Amino acid sequence: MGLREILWAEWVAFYKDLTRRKSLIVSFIVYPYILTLLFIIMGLAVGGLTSFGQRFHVSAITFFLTMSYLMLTLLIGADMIMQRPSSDMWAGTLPYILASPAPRVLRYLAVALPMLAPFIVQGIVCLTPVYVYYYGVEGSVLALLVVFLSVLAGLFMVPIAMVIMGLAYMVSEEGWRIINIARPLLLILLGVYYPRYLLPLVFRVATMIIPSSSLVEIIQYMLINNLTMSLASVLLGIATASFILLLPIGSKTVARWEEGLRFKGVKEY
Amino acid sequence: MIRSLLAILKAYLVTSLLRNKAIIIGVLQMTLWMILFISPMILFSRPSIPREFTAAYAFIAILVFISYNMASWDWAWSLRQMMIRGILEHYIISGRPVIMVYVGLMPVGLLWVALSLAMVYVIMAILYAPPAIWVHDPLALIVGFACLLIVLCGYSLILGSSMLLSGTSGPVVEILSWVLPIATGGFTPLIMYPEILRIIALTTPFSYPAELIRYGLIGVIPALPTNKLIMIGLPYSLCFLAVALLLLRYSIHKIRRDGVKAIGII
Repeated sequence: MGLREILWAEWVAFYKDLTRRKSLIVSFIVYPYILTLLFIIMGLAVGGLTSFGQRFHVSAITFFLTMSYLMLTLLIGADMIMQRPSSDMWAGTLPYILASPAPRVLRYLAVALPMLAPFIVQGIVCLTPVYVYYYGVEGSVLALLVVFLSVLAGLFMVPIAMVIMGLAYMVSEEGWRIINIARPLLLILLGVYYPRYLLPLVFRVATMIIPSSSLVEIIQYMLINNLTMSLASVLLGIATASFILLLPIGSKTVARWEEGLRFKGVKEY
Repeated sequence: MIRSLLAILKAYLVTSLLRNKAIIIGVLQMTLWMILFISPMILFSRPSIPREFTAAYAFIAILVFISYNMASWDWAWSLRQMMIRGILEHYIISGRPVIMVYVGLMPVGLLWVALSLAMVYVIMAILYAPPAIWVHDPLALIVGFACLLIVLCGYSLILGSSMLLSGTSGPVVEILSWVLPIATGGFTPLIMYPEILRIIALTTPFSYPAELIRYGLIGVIPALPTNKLIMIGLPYSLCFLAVALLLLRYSIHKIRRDGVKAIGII
């Protein structure tokens, strides 16, 4: 079974569910705006938009809209992978997955890809008007670049999600409890809302193991118009290297978890 | 009735606090989410305003947000969970009023809010500055908290009833629990809102508790004089609760007549 077949199966399952539930489509559209509104209103209460603009040379609306969109893009694919064992257990499909000869990396890439596709549309619809307002016509090019990098960052979350999922379910049958802790921790380490470059160097280096965190940093530098070609190349290189490095680790972790499960058997609900 | 109430309280206490180290995991999870959402607020701070005041504003905003979240996800969502698991029909047939479920859930929910706020205070004190909170007006504070509790009960009853009537899904509840506090002055003093938004916020019962608590705790000038806020806010909250109770009664009556809605897991 190749990537195409698995991808098609995942694609159909995801889009049937998405089109069936209109509230999910609405939430796809409104979420980045709601999160932005939340931060802007909270920001107004504690200081103001001017102080943010003076400090970071970017409008708070542009920054938080981009970061909220980015957070959702990063979370959706990773979350679906991390929650997969639980949902498969509930649906009764876990034994079939364990029996499947499909390569693990392809299987989990296929889980993330259909989830990320609507974010291309969401990103263009959501970011372009705001960018054009703040940056002029060039803003549309910037929006396309940000969407591309965000979706790439979402895809780069696959190996780290595989590692967390494998470890969490190896440690406990109720691995979702550990995942509930890992999810916000991952978002903090990614530096989505609080840029990584504001943190001490040690912390910044430590987070480089998460491939997407470097892409998040590229987007943030792009927004504040402070990205040089050399910096972009270095960060992109780090992201790609850590992605390639983590893929076999993720695959091995999942394999260890599956091995244990084959020995113990799958719980029926 | 009391036995039923105690059974709900015990079950909820065990599942949400004691089973499988739930309290440790819950506190850790909450702390991390709070760090994620509190840290960007620091980026807005103005150097001219003392950090303690900035932290105090943020603390009140988080208090309101956590309260709404708890009313949505702990109180109202429990009815949907009962529907999904097929328990609700049995509960209705037993003849016990559904409101008892809420009463049983409340102490643990409020305990979580208190715990969360303590965590938020500690995180703020470590990451930024300890919030400058002092009792500025005890009466406004007491009435504010009473109004908040009444409004939260009413809100969760309406949300719970709407789930029973229409099978409202998770994303809708989530959006509501974000939008409501934003739109009704939960996060920002109404005095800082544009005129039209301020009027809209004051037509809802949600704005009064937030304004009273903000005034009672940190002395922020409210959009209306305090006595007016109390005179309007308290009866308005009680009316809101009464309407919510009527709606719950109607939804149970409808379920008895038409059966429980078939709904998805999420």
